[in-house]
Amino acid sequence: MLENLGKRVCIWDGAMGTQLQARGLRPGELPESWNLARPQDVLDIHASYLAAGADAVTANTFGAYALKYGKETAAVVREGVALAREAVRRAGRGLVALDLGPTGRLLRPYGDLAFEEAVSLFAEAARAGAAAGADIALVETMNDAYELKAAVLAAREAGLPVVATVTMDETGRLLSGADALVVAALLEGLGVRAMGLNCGLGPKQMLQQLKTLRACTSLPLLVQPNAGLPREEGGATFFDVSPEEFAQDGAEIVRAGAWLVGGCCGTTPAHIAALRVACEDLSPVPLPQGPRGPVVTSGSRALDLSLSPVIIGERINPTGKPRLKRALRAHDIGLIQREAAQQAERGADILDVNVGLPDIDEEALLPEAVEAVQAVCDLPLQIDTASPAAMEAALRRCNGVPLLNSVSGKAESLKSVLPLAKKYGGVLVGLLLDEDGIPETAQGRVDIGRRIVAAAEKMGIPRKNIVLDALTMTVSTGEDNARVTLEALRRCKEELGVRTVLGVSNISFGLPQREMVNAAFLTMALAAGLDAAILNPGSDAMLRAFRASLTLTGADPQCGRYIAFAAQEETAPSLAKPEGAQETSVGDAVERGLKSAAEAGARACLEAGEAPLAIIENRLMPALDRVGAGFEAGKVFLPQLLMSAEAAKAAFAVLQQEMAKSGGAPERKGTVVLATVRGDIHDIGKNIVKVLLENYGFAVIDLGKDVPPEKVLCAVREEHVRLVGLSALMTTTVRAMEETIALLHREAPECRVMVGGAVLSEEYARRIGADFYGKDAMASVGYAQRLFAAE
Amino acid sequence: MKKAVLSRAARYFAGPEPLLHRALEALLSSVRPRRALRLLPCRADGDGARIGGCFLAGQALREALCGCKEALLLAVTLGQAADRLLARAAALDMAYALALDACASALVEEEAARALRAFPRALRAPTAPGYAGFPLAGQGALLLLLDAGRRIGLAQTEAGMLAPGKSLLYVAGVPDGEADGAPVPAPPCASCGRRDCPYRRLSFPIRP
Repeated sequence: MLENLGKRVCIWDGAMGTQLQARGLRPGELPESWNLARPQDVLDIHASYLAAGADAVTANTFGAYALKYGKETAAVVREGVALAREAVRRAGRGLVALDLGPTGRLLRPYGDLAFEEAVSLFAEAARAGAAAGADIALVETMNDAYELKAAVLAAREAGLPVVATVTMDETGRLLSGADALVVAALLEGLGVRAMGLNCGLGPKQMLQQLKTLRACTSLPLLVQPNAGLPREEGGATFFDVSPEEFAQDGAEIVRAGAWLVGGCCGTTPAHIAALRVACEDLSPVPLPQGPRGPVVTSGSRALDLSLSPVIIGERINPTGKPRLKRALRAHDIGLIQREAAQQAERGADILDVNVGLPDIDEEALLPEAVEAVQAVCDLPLQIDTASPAAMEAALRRCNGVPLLNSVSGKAESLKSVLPLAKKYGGVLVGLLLDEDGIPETAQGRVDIGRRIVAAAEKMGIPRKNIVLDALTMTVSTGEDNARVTLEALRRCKEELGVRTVLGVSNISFGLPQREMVNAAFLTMALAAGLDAAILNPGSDAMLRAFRASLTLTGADPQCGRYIAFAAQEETAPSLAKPEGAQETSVGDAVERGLKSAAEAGARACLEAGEAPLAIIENRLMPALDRVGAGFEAGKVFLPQLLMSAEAAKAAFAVLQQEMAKSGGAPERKGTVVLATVRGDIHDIGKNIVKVLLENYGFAVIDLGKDVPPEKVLCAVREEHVRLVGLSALMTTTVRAMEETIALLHREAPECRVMVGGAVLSEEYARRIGADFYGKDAMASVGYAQRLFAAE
Repeated sequence: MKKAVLSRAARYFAGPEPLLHRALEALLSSVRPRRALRLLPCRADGDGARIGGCFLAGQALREALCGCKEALLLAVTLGQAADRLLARAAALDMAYALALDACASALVEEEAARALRAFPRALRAPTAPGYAGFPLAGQGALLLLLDAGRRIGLAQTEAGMLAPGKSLLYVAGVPDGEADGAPVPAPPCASCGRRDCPYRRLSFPIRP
């Protein structure tokens, strides 16, 4: 059937669950258990759909995963596929699809199912289905793009061709937020044979979603609507669209572009028989072109790089950033998340993620960083590594379609990176260098670009999914360097028909006033046709140059984005002279929780000749102490406490900058590891403690949430940490807290453990072996101060 | 709607009102609350109750449904976008994150309250798995009965937490023969002794 796609309309079968319920499946009973308990019923259902004219039947394996069936899983799947196979044998025609529905669990970071755990669940079913003779895998009813990716990967790795359908709401989005372009880009990248829609809506409502999806892909489409919208009566669910009406709407769906049609909830063999008749004389509509340019996505947001130049935020890269280096080595995700969130706030369109450090396990760390960033941002990512193994590990865990940075013209690079782009999808960044280095001429670089494009196309990677980097060479080492790069960039676009990317800031290396040169170069590159600029979104000069250039190059219709940007700049408080700065001392600002005023106050103190350390000791810390005392006395509440903490943090940042100029840094009073325990996904309490500890001069290693005991121990050992803070929200997760404490006391007896959380009390904390119970965040700070002072 | 949410949020967040307003605007522009409702036959049974044919243990559940032939199941979630927004805020500014968290809690509660108020029949006090006398173990069955995963993307973790985080799940008895317009009683927190619990939910407003 897959070989003949497009020659005739293919009819898929209808609902399995509805038929099982009609035969007596009880509420709460697992439908797939009937494969073993009542195989004849399942066989009869398949036979009835084939008799109705279905070209494909879907095995009764929708939810047959180890989460529900444990060791029985493979047997349940095998039997399900065997029954479908037997029905097809008896009918003498038909295709058997292994059914892979959602696991019923939510993936991290929103739930607790790890991505690779999800892949394993799907893989077990996929392997059993393939061995039992399934022709393809139908991944269906997916409402989360990340889980969709896990299922498709597992099925592909089991050697099955894949057709995947998702459930959209009436606004055209999955429940996870992904729209049609995200879904289409993801599935095309993963190499499915066809994609489409099923469940959730009736045929009339699904028609509009089909049209939207069709505009986003060049692949064949499968549509399986419900028999209308569900109606509840007496505890039972009913679907009201009759077979005749369903068939009429189904024919309309075929005319709108679906090559494969079938039914979902509420449909019966009668619906499929009517559909077969209605589609008999219809021919498949030719496939559309799909989007024009390369599309990158997060789990919920898509970006077509052909529409307008974009900013790739470059800050998550440890080169030249000692704090980030330390954080990466300690698995401290807090700093990575802050960098990501700040760049997103500043208007980055894509975030580069690079964790390359000597002596670091990049293969383990890069996916960890990718997950950390995904938890706080819904921007597409650029996975940036020279290690193919790390690239693959990160590609798997990336929720969406990333940029792969990078492949080069070197034979080894082409050999190792192109297969990754082919398997996982994504937009490939090609560096214009090869075994002989970076050519000095534009012609040399264009030639390498041509070789990269040819090699990629030979492997089946479309040209539109390649972005070339003409490589910025430092202008201080060659006066022609900027010109050569820009010429190569322009010619790659014109002659090879690809998009371009450029890391901008290298141009000024070794020169004074670098931002001035960078901004001018960015403007020139955008004028030469640059599509994606890798830069620091924290730089005002670069952002201004970017927005203004877009306006001047006609990439900003009606100057809309420029006007919005300018308006934002005008309303943003100036760091130099915020309102009320004259009147507010840094201490007052901290007490009143005024961030901008605290920054300005710190600057004013520096200008008046005060030493940074003196400002901290004599102004900031006393102010924080006053706020803390007010909190203890019940006169200041948590929001004010945190506002003061944030204001102090802003002032600290100014002072740290000043100290860094002379190579100094404020002395840390000690290091504390913080974690929300395994199984617990609520971390606001832990985050509050973190902010306060940092303000009081402690270095914090934030391991995040759902942290296994071993990972806590690992951080304690690696950083020789004397204090750990653990948080848990529920009684069910306090058990993991107890385990973590026991492990730490056994393996790192010198380490103390403080605990906090809604369900804890002093007595309970003592019972599970904690050294200290923090009734609130300030109490934790107090304990840390006492502990480290005693040392 | 905004006024009601702000009024609930203000009880969780004793900080400046403008921060709360800013947080609510950000929340409302990023999230879309979803709800799943289902009315199922029920009856008290042994140490618990049977809902839609499934037995759920719990004396409190039994009491909540006693005398009712039907139970209303309600799940509400703000979805993954709210969790992401909260995580992002926490990475940037904890005071703002706290305000956002208060707004998110208030919004999900208000959505639930509105759903219960809009229900055209009288309801008994709602209860929820995990509260005294209704073991958390019953949560999975309720989610299945509601088909909450497929309908609104709501699941539970291995530890029994609802995921996404800003979600609620309730069961309320629908008594026979009581006139429409009877008050919707308070949620289960009202019967809990721990007055200082930060996760304490507020009473639903009385139906007008």
